Amino acid sequence: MREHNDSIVSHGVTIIAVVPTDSPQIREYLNVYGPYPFAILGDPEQIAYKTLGLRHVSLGKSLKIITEYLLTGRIREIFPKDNEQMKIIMKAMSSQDVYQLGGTWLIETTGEILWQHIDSESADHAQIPQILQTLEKFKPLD
Amino acid sequence: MDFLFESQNEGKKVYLRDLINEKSIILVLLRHLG
Repeated sequence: MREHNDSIVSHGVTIIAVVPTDSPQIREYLNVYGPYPFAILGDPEQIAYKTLGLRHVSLGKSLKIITEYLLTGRIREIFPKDNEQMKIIMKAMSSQDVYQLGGTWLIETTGEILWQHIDSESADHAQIPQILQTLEKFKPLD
Repeated sequence: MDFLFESQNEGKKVYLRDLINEKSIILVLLRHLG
């Protein structure tokens, strides 16, 4: 999303990312992985996640995915070599709900949800071309 | 739909409705940080 920020916001929208953790962890993350061109907000109690009915991935499925990454040489996408980055990842894994899945919504200024994508599994994110097509289709109000 | 989120700035919270009032948004709820 960060890499495509300019393409997305050129359609007159703002990107808001929410994570299931608190402000201190967000700041630690940004110190290592930042900066980001959009706000990252925290929902440590996962109120939004629960209210929106977002799913969880099972332990078995999670282990299967990690195994696949390991076998295909992609484990560094999950566990980085950089020590500072690894500390952030390990802290996230120990303090956050790693089975929580996410979603993406296009919300009009009226509060109307124009479009949504609810992740059905961990790799099932809304794709950037899909988001851009949606923005072209709905042309949000100013 | 309205939720209260923690800002990156310690002690500050923000309502989703206040963000929506300014501009249409792409809201992304992520699995976890990192």
